Amino acid sequence: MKFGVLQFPGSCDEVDALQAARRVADAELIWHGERDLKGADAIVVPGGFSYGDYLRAGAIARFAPAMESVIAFARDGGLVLGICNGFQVLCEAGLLPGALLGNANRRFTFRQVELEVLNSGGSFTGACALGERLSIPAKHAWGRYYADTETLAAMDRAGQFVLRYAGGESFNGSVHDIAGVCNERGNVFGLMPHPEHAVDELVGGSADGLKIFESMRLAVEGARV
Amino acid sequence: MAAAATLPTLEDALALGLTAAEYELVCEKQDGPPNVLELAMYSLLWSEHCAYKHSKKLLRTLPTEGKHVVMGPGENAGAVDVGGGLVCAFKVESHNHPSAVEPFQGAATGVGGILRDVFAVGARPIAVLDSLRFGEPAGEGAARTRYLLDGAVSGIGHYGNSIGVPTIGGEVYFEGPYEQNCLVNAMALGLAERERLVRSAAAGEGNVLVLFGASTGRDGIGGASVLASAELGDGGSDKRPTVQVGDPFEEKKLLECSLELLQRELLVSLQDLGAAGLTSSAAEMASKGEVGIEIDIARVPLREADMEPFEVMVSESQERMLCVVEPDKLDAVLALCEKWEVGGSAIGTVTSTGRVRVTQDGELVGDMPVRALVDDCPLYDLQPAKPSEPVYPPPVATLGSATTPSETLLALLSCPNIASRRPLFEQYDAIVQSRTVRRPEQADAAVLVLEDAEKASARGARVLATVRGFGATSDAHHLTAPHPDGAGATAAITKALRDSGLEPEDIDYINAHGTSTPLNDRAETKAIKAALGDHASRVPVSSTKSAIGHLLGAAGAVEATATILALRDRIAPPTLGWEEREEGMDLDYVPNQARPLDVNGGPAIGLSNAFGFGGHNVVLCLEA
Repeated sequence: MKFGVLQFPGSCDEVDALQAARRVADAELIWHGERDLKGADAIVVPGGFSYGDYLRAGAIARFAPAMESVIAFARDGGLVLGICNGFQVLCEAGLLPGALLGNANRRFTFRQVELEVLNSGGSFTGACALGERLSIPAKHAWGRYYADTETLAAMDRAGQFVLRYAGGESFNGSVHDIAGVCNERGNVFGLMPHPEHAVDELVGGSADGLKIFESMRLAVEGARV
Repeated sequence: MAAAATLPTLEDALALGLTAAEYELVCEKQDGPPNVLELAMYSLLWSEHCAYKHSKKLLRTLPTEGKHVVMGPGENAGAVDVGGGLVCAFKVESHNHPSAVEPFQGAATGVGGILRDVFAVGARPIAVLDSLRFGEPAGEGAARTRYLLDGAVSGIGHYGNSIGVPTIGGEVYFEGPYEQNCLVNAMALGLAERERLVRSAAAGEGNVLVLFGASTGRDGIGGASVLASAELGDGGSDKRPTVQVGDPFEEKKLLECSLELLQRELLVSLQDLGAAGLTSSAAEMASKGEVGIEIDIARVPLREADMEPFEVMVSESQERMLCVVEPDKLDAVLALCEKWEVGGSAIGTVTSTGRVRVTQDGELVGDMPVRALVDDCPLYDLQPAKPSEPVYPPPVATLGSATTPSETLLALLSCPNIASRRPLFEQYDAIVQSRTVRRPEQADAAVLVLEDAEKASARGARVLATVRGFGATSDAHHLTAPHPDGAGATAAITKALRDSGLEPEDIDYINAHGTSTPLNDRAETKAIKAALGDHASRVPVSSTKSAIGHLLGAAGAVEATATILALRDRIAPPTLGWEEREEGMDLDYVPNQARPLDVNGGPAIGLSNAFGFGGHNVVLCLEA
């Protein structure tokens, strides 16, 4: 199985995502200017500050040639994981509902947060148990998830809320403390915290993030059988 | 440009910060009065900031060489060998005055500049740290202090976070005298393979000078503004200098482009543009290489129209680098600049004239000897004189013998110099690049992984030791004393053995916490006996603190290293200064003389004890 990790000008956590993905399968970087997704079975849109967050975070990256291919890949059911800036890009690209606004505390904040798994049946949390807590670091200034009431109700009915900041820990003020959501079909997932920074206990004390990559591997290999 | 009619005068030179004697010297070096461009360049290169003219003589007395020093003073950053074919490059710089004027951008561009210095030598920046000083955040100057603090911390975070370099540590202290002169020091640390380090000396007659990165504007043209008014062109174009604004996105692209250029071996040398912009970069590259340089300012990409030649040469626009390229590699260099979407332009050539010549569309607008610009700046001796009275009043004590313990506690907790720095360091990404083992507040120093096990074994690195296991306990027995029976320590040793799957008999040596205090040594002796039973009396137990003292930071790490070396070399280090045996202290403390370790032909296994007040106890079990 192979992960493809996109790389935009200004991406910061793409190498971290690459290294994390390589713990469970093959992985390769995909340059933003390339349309060829190199046979990747799953795509990771990484964290960072693509295009300097000019205009809006993720607003420019969503037009990259590689993203055109990712949008088509997602429409065909391919798995796409968006982390932090990647989540922002996916919302801008219309692959996920809602938007990420400025943090309620109006500051860039870096903090280890606890996430509660709200939906464990899908391709991104299949290796987690329902209600399980994941310890994962979050670091962002624009992470307040927002969607209008109607959209939220529809998402709730369809089980699209995947991760929540446990115990009122969200510094960004996301509606319903939502940390990660997926699309209706369940093949596109975005979250603000960084699972790629929780894959080795030596570097951060938690390997909970590995479960997300592991879930994706299981989903891809399961689909092949 | 007009001819000699508009030559600047002595008054202009004085206004630019040169002394009358220095101006005389410049005229001598130039065989006549310098023109506007030339005077601007001399005034900058002979300024305190560029020439260190009042401190160079003192700086030269400092030691600069050592077994592990790979790059000493004179290059963009210093570098030391850290083993495994790797070097760490690092540098600290202050940005006090810009931060006092505009704290966000002053601090941000401080970080930007120091990062450029590190990747200019070919090292990927892996960490940023900062050291800050401000006035009191309460009382009269409070509003300004808070403004500077908030701005500086946001600025550091903004730049470091956006460029993907973790800010892993720092310090901030508040004291009245800093109100008028805040300190904003930025440090950057980089990692490189030793063969990849690059120097800044220009070389090779006919080689091309390429300027890449952001375009050039009027940023930071301060003192030279006097000349701006002397050069009235037509029209009312605004020539006011602008404050330096950093763009970390531009620098991120610049960083990746620079590192890839070096990785592909496309460059002869590299230099970043900092204070005095092209003037200092070009002149210093030429000076180090003992060559000449010719620059056509018409080829410099500008972001504002109608810039004068001197403005182009002294602009401090951020996020620019200058490199020297062999002509047959020029196309590849420009192509790489295009890939990373940074502007790249061939702006000049390396010559053998020993002079810096500046042209504009073929016309010579400035001509100076390199040596005069860089090496011949007069150096001065400081004449320090102790002031008759203290410059700053001593701090007023606010706690006296009359203060109650609870008042004292509250005063201490509310003291900004003791209070938690969490609101500050939470604004920094401390983990990007996945190297950070200890984040701010998790330890007294940040800890980074330089090389992972896979890479180490791939290059055939020699493993010095393995951590078989460890035990850690934490208790709240007493603020400053361990449990007299060493209960926490006993538990830590026992846990370490269990975690390692070993028996007491497997231990060949113990590096004790051994602070030489009655409280620790007695408790530790009891703990060793309780955990190891009969074997305790057979194991050599020594304290290396007897040789180096109790280090104020990383004591455990240093002693673990000593333990590893002891095990590797099969030598038990002595407990120095051991004089007489006390009642109940009957272990083998390896008194005063090192001795061989007897490990019966097997691996050498030892324990490294580190105990702290509170207490917290850690025992590492190491095998070599």
